[in-house]
Amino acid sequence: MCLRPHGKDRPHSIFCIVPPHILVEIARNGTPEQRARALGTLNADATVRQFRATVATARALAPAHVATMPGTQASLRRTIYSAGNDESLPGDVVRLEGAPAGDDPAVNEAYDGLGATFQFYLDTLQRNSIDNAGLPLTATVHYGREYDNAFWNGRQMVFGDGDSTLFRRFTISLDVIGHELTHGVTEFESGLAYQGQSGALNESISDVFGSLIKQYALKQSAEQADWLIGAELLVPGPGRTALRSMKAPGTAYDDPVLGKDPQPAHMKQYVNTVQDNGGVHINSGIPNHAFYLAATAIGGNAWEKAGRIWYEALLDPNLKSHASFRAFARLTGTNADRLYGANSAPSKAVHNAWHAVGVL
Amino acid sequence: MQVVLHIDGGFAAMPGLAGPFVVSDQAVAPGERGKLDALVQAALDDRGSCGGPAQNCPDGRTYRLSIERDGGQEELVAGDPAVPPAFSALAQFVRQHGQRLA
Repeated sequence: MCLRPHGKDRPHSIFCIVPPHILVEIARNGTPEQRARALGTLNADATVRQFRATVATARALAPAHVATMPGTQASLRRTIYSAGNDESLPGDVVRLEGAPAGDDPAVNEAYDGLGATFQFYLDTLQRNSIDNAGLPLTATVHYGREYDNAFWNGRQMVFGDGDSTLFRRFTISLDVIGHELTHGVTEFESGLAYQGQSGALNESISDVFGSLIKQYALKQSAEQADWLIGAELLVPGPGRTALRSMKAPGTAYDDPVLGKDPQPAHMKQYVNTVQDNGGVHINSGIPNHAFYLAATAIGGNAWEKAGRIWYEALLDPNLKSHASFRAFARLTGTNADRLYGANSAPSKAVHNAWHAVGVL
Repeated sequence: MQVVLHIDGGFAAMPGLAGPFVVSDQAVAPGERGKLDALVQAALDDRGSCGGPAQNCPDGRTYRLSIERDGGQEELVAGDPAVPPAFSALAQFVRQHGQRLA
């Protein structure tokens, strides 16, 4: 399968007829633009085999710079594309690593947001990019027309412009960028199935680290943070605060057009639905609130202890792809015990948080 | 002829935005009916490109187009990021010219 990496109005690039092994060589040895195009073409192929080739190539591109051992240097490699309001991925390269900012705020926000997310994971969790092996970060902006969404497609982040009446551009909130990139981390580490409780956990983990990435960038403590997801995303209006509130699920918006925030904060209000993969964006309110309760009870910077505990639970080999809330809660407990001691304040805070939301 | 578009899921899934868009050839301007017919036919002709719901795409949305015409009904399903162009063009028309139901 050969998708057009440079928009449907242009002829197919030569990369479309070049075999993957040659693309790999171009990606290794070409000019920066050639490397970006080659990687983009590899990215555009939907087969698992080529995806693996992309990952392997990305790792091979910077063997001298990328390592996970303490004290070695990690390398940030960002490529921002524009879909030009088309739906072809990845689109045209508009900014490569090291290039100066331009006039397009979506491009600049995506570039800076990927950088802030990379730096957060490296500084606080010693994680080297999405795969912990230096995977280059790719994002496409201006996807579709008035596209009210952002997603992670297994290879890259994709951001719409919003319709300008309800939603602004989806790059405008750093926590949204961190949320999407964290889907990649979850995919590499646990593969939490995107359905039902495991899907809501997948969503919650993206909200948790999306919020932590914002808090880290703003140097906010748990007490200072707003614990909102997408606060800048909604076009301002009465009753429109954000997309979600980890502090008070169910209160982020109440609007004649958007409806009322349906997120529960407790298992008693768990929503059984067939929509949205079993309500993954609804029931994520429960683990979101558990994290908020744990982080604020522990105090200080949420990324230091609460974030570490959640991250270790995500990496725990006992976390199954179809994990329930309770299974994940137990893993946060065992990891808190391991990291800080069974009767430590962080361990008690984690246990109390899950108990408060009705999971334990 | 009537076309209904359901959009499910997405990062910004909200209850007020869950209602489907509906457009009828009787409700669009006469000059747009031919365009709607052509878009419907193109989407149906390309039905083989519709890969079903969004898969392995967190925050990806699933789109369902229900087309009623000539006494029959057909449903096309596609998901991010693999929405065929003909499907996308019809969905865009329905969003622009249709009404959103509660």
